[in-house]
Amino acid sequence: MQNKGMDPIQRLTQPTVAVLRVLLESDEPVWGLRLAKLTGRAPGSIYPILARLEDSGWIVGEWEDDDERVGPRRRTYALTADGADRAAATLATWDAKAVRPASRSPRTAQA
Amino acid sequence: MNAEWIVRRLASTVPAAHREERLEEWLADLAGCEELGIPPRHIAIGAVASTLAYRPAPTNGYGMTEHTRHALRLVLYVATIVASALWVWVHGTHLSVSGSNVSFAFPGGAVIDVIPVFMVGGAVVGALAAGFGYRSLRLFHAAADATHAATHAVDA
Repeated sequence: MQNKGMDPIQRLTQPTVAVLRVLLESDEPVWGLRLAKLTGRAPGSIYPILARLEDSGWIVGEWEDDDERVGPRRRTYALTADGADRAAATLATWDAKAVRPASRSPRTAQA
Repeated sequence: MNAEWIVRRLASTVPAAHREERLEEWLADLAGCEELGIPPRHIAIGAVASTLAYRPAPTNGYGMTEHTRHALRLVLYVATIVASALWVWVHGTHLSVSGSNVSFAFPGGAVIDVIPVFMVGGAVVGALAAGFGYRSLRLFHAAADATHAATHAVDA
């Protein structure tokens, strides 16, 4: 998938935040399906999020390089350098608003 | 119909630029889902969600595609017309209820049961809906491919 630069996340949802959090805390690329497991979300909500984040330039998907496994290759995902910076800022903003009882959830991340 | 058959069919509706990539990802997830305790049907459902939500360049957004919305609207129109026609048909003739059997009589004297008619009508509308939906997805993605190719041709 071609790199189109960093675009803001148009819809920042709890599953998106969960995905960003797992990727930010991980030192290595994470298999897409494992992201679903780690976030406790169904693949049905994770796949579109990954595609959207990848199109927006926040994350990059790569094929897992595992010579021992036969069959189709697993797709792994990691934050880009800029994506990591924005994800950290976005999560900080999200968490700060989450602790305010009367606050509304942010709908757009412009970090 | 198993999960692999579903994801292969869905992958065929994905824009050509992403088709092979999506298919390999879904097949790999199907192959490895049990080690994570995720049922294969969840992969198929995920593929359905991803396919329906995917809207390729130039808009790069996600949500139900315009073509899918048109298809659903068309199905709604057809269902409304069929239901209205049946209602007029039933109320314009002599409707009789006997136990669990509902029937109506034509002015000429012919009598037919209502429930089988509704069941057949429902099946036809359902089949039309599925057909329109699938065809719309294919048409939309074909158009997206053409747009993508044209954009790259201009860039080149």
